[in-house]
Amino acid sequence: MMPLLSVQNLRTYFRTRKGWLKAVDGVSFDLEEGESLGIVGESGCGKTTIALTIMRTLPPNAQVMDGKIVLEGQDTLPIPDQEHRRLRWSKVSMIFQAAMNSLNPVFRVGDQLVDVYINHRKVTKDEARKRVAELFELVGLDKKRMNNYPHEFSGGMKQRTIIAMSLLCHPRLIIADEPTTALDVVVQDQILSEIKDLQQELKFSLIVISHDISVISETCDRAIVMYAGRIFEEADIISTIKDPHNPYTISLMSSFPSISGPIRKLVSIPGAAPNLVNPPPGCLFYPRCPIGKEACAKETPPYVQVADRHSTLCHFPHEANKAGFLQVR
Amino acid sequence: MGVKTYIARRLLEIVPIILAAVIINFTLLHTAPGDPALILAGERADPEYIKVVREEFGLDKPLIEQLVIYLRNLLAGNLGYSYMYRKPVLAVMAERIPATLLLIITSLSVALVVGTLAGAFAARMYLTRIDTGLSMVSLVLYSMPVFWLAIVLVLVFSFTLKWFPITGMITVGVQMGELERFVDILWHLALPSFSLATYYFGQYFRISRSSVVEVMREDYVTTARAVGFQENKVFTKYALRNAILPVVTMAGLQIGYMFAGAVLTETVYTWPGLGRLILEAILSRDYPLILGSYLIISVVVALATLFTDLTYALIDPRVAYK
Amino acid sequence: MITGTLKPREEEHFISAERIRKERRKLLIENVRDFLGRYKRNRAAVLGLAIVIVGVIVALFPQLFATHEPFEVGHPQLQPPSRTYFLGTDNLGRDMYSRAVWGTRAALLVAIGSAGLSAILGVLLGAASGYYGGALDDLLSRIFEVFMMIPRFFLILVIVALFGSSLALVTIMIGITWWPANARIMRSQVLTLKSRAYVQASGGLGASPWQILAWHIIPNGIYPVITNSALEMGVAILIEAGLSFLGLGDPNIVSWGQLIDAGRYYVNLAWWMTFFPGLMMLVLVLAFNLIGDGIAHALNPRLAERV
Repeated sequence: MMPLLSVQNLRTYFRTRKGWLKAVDGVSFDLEEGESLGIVGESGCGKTTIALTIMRTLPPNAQVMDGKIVLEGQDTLPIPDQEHRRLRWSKVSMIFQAAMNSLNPVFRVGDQLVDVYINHRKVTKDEARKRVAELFELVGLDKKRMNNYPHEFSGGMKQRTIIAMSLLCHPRLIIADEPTTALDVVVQDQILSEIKDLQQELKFSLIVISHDISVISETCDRAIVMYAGRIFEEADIISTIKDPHNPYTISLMSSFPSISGPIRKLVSIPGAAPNLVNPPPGCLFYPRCPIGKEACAKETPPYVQVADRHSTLCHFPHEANKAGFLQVR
Repeated sequence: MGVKTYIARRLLEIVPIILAAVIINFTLLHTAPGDPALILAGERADPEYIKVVREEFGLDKPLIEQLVIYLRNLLAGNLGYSYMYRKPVLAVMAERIPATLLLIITSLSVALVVGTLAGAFAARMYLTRIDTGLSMVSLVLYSMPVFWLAIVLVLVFSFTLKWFPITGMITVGVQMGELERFVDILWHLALPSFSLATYYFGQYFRISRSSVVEVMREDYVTTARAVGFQENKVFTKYALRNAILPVVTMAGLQIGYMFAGAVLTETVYTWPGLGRLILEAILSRDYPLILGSYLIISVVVALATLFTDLTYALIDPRVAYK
Repeated sequence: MITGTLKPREEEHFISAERIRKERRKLLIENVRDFLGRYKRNRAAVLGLAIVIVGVIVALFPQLFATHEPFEVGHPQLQPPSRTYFLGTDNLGRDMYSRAVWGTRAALLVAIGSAGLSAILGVLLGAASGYYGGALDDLLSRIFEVFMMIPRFFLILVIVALFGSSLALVTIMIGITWWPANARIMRSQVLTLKSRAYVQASGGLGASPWQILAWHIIPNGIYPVITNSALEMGVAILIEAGLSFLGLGDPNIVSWGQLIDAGRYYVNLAWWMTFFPGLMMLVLVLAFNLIGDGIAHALNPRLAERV
């Protein structure tokens, strides 16, 4: 069956004074209908850039150099702006990072959502207000609150509003970019389970972007691990956490505590992210890789399939897998 | 807290400011070289009158009492007596204020509207040549002495081209009907308000431009784009309303400067307003008039700032809820 | 599970005050170098700086640039610009060019004096207010507010009317009425920097508040004040010119405002009397504005990004 979304060899670069910054450099993945995919990685690895490319809200100094974004069989990259605006929000919508400022502070919350709905559907204002009220209830907000201003909402309430806003036009795909980063832990948990429930009820596909593997593990079936603009590993969520075949994935897992499982000392990955303007040859993770060898410094690693729907970008995936979780000596 | 409480609170805050202006006035009166009584009565006044002034203002009594008497006089509308005009200070000022208000309001409106729109337009074309050009022009206008600009304009448009009158607010000595009189005033108003407006245009242009640029970077503008609004709509509905806020604030802060500019412009164009009045008062050593005018202007500026604050609160719902 | 080949980084567990100071100093120097680099790239800002430097040189040594004595009468009156009298002569037969050259001195004295005074007062009081907080902060903030509302130009007018005029008085008055702007800026900088780790670390190590302010906070927070001061210098020149134009300036010195005032009555006979002094003022004020803008842009590189 044709996947809902197929990203093929996407390259998005940013123009900087020192040259092109290769934020997303050859990323490909598929998303099936009803599936939920997590994109995990450090800040600056390019995960948000992918989302912005899909939504066409990249900053002015960004340029898509290559690739295809095939949504429901149609490549959306060459579509003219007017048409793209129409499919934005009705086919794909987004839940933004740190919803603190995603709502305009001088307008009432309800009015803003009504505005969005009217922009996409030919309905009267009353009908729009009804729909917004519906969604407010769905996400657990009192519909009387539609007349409030954003600054009167708590962080969790604002995030719920953003979620409601993303559901307005019955999208097939929702991209959630760090949906819980700005919230406290208790609210985080609520929001995540609510997103999960909504997905089951309304049956949309979901992409969750986060640097926090625990967020992704709670909401996603599959995961993509990104580093320096490339996909380093791709697998179902259990394999990613319990059976990783890539040193970077392993390092990432080692730096997060887990309540269950053996007590181990957390490890921070030494070194810094590579220069994305002039990336060195070979594997981009080599300078920080605990099992890095000479071959890694010279040759680009191959994208190897190690199991069914489980691939990794590494010269020595099995060695990495055997080395397992890193420990402090 | 609601909007009403906010208004009440701001009104209360004005009081210490006005009080401060009064105290400054009072201090100036008493620290200036010379006998305050003579200052208030005029050096050439006859002794009888000086005695009256001494009693009226309680100048023999201790300073604190004097301050109280002074305040009481002020509240009664007694700012002293102008010996140049032989009328109470308040009356003299009342006659001249309308002309200044006409000048300031016209100039402010033009500068504000044109400046803000031009700034927003420049922001829309950020860093293109149009923007750089406009920014340069506005910077040059903003660096000009307003009285120099006024004189140059008079030279070009009044003396050389003869399109506009050289001085004054009205053409004297000619009988006119109501409508003609109105047009006549507008004709005389043109150059002075243009001079004043040009100078302040620069301010509003800069603020508007930087404010719009900043707002366009905000998350809620990205959201507006993401939900599929047209760029025009994003700009006019979502960005502009937020961007006007600093302009309103700036307008409030500028009121004092507008009066200063008015003095200079009125001098060049012989416009019969408050500004020239103060100048005449200074040159004739009419101290009651000088001090009285200063006080009135301080109060007007404070009230105008209050007014802008309230306008700001109307546009930005966050303010009243602090 | 086998252990990996990672070794934790050797951490220095002892941080000395000396080391903090050295690190901060290094960072400061780096910041300053970045800043200068960005400033140099802005051609308008460099032009502004060049103009001001030229102006300062002229102000320091007007004798080198003037062709005649500024107060010397007796030359042919109301002459248009010529090779002998570069900017013409005025109604009393004085050379306009030389007078304008000498006028630079007054303009720069007022500009630097008032902006300097305002900066010193503003930085000290603003830093104190922000750092100590509490009642002091409340009181000072109130004072800032009241001062900001005072119509400055009129106050100076009135004072000049009562006390007589001199360049020093005008300079001091302009500085005194304007320090709250700098104070506010400094205060908010202090509030931001106060909670930075290196500041708290210094405090923990026993540095006194004034040491912290002097070594850490002020050097890092002072840039917006510098921007503001550059802009203030331009405005100060305009204020002094306005006063002189109204006849309330210092009668013993040459000031551009004065020149424009004198020329006002002859504007249709001798336009050069008003035109050139004003033009020079425009250029100098523009230069200060360019510098101010240049500093602002160099401090905040984001301003150069498109939206």
